[in-house]
Parts: sequence; structure tokens; C-alpha cells
Amino acid sequence: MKRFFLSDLLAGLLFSLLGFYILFEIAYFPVDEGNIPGPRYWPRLIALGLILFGLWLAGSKIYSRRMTAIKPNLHHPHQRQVLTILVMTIFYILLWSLFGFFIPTVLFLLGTMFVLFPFQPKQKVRGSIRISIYSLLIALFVYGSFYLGLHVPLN
Amino acid sequence: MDAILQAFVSLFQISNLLMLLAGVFLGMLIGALPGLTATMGVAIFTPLTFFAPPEQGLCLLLGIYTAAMFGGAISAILINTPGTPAAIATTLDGYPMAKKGEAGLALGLSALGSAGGGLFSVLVLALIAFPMARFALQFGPAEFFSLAVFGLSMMIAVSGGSIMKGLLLGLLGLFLATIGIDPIHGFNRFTFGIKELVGGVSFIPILVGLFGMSEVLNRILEGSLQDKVLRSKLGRVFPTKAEIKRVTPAFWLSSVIGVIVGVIPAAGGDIASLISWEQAKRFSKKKEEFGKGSMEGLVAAETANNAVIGGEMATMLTLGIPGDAVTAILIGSLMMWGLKPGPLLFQDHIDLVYQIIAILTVATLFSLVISLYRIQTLGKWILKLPDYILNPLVLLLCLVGSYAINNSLFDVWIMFGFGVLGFVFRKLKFPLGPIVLGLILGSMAEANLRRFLILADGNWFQFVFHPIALTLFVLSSLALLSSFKKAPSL
Repeated sequence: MKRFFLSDLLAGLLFSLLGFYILFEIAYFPVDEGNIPGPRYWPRLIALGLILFGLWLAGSKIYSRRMTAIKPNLHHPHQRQVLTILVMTIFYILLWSLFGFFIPTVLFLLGTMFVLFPFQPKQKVRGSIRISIYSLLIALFVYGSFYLGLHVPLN
Repeated sequence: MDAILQAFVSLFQISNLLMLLAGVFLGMLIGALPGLTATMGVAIFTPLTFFAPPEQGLCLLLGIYTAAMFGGAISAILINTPGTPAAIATTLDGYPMAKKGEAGLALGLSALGSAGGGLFSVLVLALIAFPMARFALQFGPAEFFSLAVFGLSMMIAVSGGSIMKGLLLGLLGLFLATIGIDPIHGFNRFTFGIKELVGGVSFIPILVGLFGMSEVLNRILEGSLQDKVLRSKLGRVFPTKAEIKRVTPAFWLSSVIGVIVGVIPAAGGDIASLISWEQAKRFSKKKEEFGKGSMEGLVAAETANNAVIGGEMATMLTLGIPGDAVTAILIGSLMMWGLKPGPLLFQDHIDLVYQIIAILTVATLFSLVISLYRIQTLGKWILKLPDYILNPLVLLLCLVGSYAINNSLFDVWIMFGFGVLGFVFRKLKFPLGPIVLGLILGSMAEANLRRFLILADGNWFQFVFHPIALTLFVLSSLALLSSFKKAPSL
């Protein structure tokens, strides 16, 4: 049985919107001179394609009338892990720009491993010690490889 | 002949050999771990090669690519989970063999089939690349534009699922390629005053995000597979003479199919192995064994997914068109070193072409030796690597690797953005291949279309007078039309 998703409808509309945005933006580009295609020529073709196919995707979902939405279930442990790691990554990049590479990296690894580690009820202390050691070792390895080995200024 | 020998001799310098061994080892690891693909591995390690000479960088990347194809069979056979998409067909007969207590033999046969297919395809690459490049030297703007359209249409046609989604992502890739200075007039487009965008969006961080970070997120979402690891003994690895004789016809058939599929832009190892498995079944005297632990089925699948490598390389090196996502990233790497794949590569950097042939040959042989002699240890060791270490490590490599290209946190944000976008697209069943191809082929398509239209005084009808271009347009239309017919939904 065919399955159609509400998310496809939204995605189709978003792609069409992107197409309209490109058309709006290229209105300020230099115009084509005679038969010589200018900077707006190619983006215009892309924009028309995005609008046409985006509306087609969205329209086909409306026409099918069999829409079901993919609902995020944030109570599911794996989905919560993904979301937590995404937030941690944002903070990590911000901390990296403020405090340099090494300490934020150790904290980031510690945090992500803490989220993903399968803790057993009576082994929390042992597990925490283990992930702390791994975090430090991996951070040292990456720092050593990139900064000392490849001379990438990780600051 | 001297040039090829010279390429082999230079490969045996200690620095090149070390890079190649590292690539093969990493490739085995990446290929064997379910969820980590050859594309992801090559994408993550590409930024590292920026600091090395092209020859060493290629040793690492081609080593990963070749060995990942071997490694993909390990988890496909032992836990019925293909390590890479190209190993999907391997599960059909590999896992039933493992269940029958022939896991070692399945791993041995898959390694031999992979090596044979890989070496056959390298030989074909050496034979066809030069005539293909000479032919491509006749190409003008019309032909290059039609070639870009052909590459894109093939990628959309074979990407599976919804054609409309493939088209939309292909267009998104083409749009991303327009960001920065326009190739003919030098006008700044879609840069929003951000100086980092003037030279165009960084290609590698986008790929690392789409194929590296999004796969890590996907792995976390889908949970651990380690509980399923087969813990029984693997048994003998080497096949007998009678067994080799039995699988030989399937081997030759799959080698040829693999190379042909590889030459076609965008058709990769997954398609080649499935077609080969089907064809081997059709010609086999023991059809009933297929899907229940047939040695012929296993060899057909594994030979074909390695035989595509030479075909894909031929298309990539001679025409500058990526055969799949991995070759798309390799094109990005070559560009990073100031080398432009295409017919001119055969005039200006012929030594590099020979080096690629040498690297692929030696990488295949290294992978074979490691597979045959260390496969038992490797299989068990690889499948025990805990997710809570692997996922943060890969994510960190994605972040640091993206930074290392230009020493810029802007690229890290780009990688992060496309990582999230790639993850969302995966969940919505959008194929990621077309976006990469659009990004790579975008500037080639635009520049050549505009050059052609300038020469043709704006007349699109002039394409009729370019038979190669016209043929490619017809083939593109046919590919899209046939996939519209076959697709389960638009």
C-alpha cells in the first residue's frame, strides 16, 4: 500500500518557497544582455524547477488524501539522545570559539559518552570513570593528530 | 608500460605504504560497522588529506574506499546487516551460510570474489580510460552540459523511491553550486555579505555533514546492533578447488556486470551486486540454493560490488562525472589539490592516473591478505567496538575535519547545518545522492550552458547539431521516464 506523509506536503511547499525566494533575489542581479545569458539565467531555471516540482510533490500528497504525519516521539530514548547530542554540539562549537579546542572537546566527549553509555544500576561510578578516561584519551589523540601532526591551529 | 611500473615503484615509498595500510585498515573497520559507509569514511578523512601530497592522500582515501567494500561483507555475513549499501545482496546468501556453520568459508569466498572483481575492474580501467579520455577531448560546451544533465538524471533515476524528491534535491544541489562568484560575469550571488561565501560554499563540510554527521545521528536513533553479534566459531576460511570451480562462472559474469554498471554515472555497488545476484541465479544450475546459502550467489554479489570501482573511476577520471557519492567526494579531493578530473587530466597529470591504477591494485591485494589471514580476529574485534565510543569519536572527527580545511569555524557550522539537514532528509526518505551530484555538476553545467548559448546566439535549437549532446539528452529523458514508470510514488 502506498504511504504518503504530511511531511512530504510541507517539504514540497518549502522547496517551492525556496524557488520563489530565488526569483525574488535574482530580480536584483544584472539583466541578460540580448542573447547573452547573465548571472540570473541559471538560478532562474533552478528556481522554476524548484517551484514546479515542489508544488507537484505537495499537490500529489493533497490529491492522494491519504496523509499521515511522522510525529517525533521525544519520550523515546534514542530520539531524546539525538536531540541532546545536537544541543551539545551547538554548545560545543560555541565554547570552542570562546575557550579554544581542548577543554570544550573533553567536556563534549564526556557529555556525549555519558548520554550514550549503557549504565548498569550498580556500576555508575565505574562507568563514569571509564568514560572520563576515554574522553581524555580521545581528545588527546585528536589534538595530537591535528595540532601536532597536521599543524592545524586548533585554538 | 614504464610509466605504470614507475607508479608502482613510487607507491612502495614508506610514507605512501603507511598511508595505504592505514586506509585499508580504516576501510575494513568502517565497512564492517553497520551504519558506517565507505562514503562516510572517505568524507570524514578527506580533510586530513588536505595536508598531504596528492599521492599520499589518494593512498588513504582509495585504501578506505577499496577496503570498505571488503569490510561490508563481514557484518553482512555475520549479523545479517550490510556494513555498506553495496553489501545488501551479500546478506542474501552470506548470512544463511553463516547460519549453516560456514561463516569462515563465506568470509573467505567473499574476500576472494571481492579481490578478483576489484583487480578485473582495475585492468579494465587501465584499458578503457585512455580511449575514453581521447574521445572526451572532442567535447565542447554543448557536450559537457548534456553530460552534466545525464549524470544528474541517472543519479535521480537510480536513487530509488520518489523521483520528485530526487529531482528536488538535485535542484537544491544545483542552487548551492550557484552561491559565490558567477563563473562568466564575476557577479556575487547569494552571498548575503558573508565573505566566506564569496568563493562558493565549501564542498567538503557539506559532504561530511550529509554523509558523516547525519549517519552518526541515524545510528544513534536506530540503536545498537552489538547484541546481535554472532559468537559461534567461524570455521574454515579457504575454499576447496571444487568450490572455486563451481563459483568461477558467477565470478566472470559479475565482474563484467560490475564494470558496466560502474561506468554508468550514479549506478553504484548496491545496484551492481543486486543485478549480478539475479543474473547469476538465472544462469546457475542450482537456482534453488539462491537465498539459502548459495556460494555462487555470495560470490556474484561480492565480486560485482568491487568490480564497480574501476568503472566508476574510469567515468570520474575521463569525464569528471562522479559514478557515486564516494567518487563525488574524490572529485572534491582532487579539486582541493588543484587537479581537475576530466580529459585534460590525461594530458597534464598522466602520472596521477597511473598512480590511481597502482593504488587500487595494491589496496585490493592488501585488503585480500588482511581478509584471508586476519578475518576471524578482525570480524569479532570490529563488531565489539562499543557505540558509546564510536559515535562521539566519529562526530568529533566530522567537526574537527571540517574545521581543518580552512581553519574556520564557519565551515564547522556549515557541516553541522548540513548534518541536521541530511538527517531530516533521511527520515523523510529523500535520497542524498542527487544533492551532491547537483553541487558538483552545478558549476560545470551552468558555465557550459551559458558558453554554448553565447556561441549559439541564445538559440537552444542549436543542440540539434551536436549529436553526442543530443544522444545524452535522449538517454537522460529515457532514464527519467522509465524511472517515473517504475517508481512506487512520484
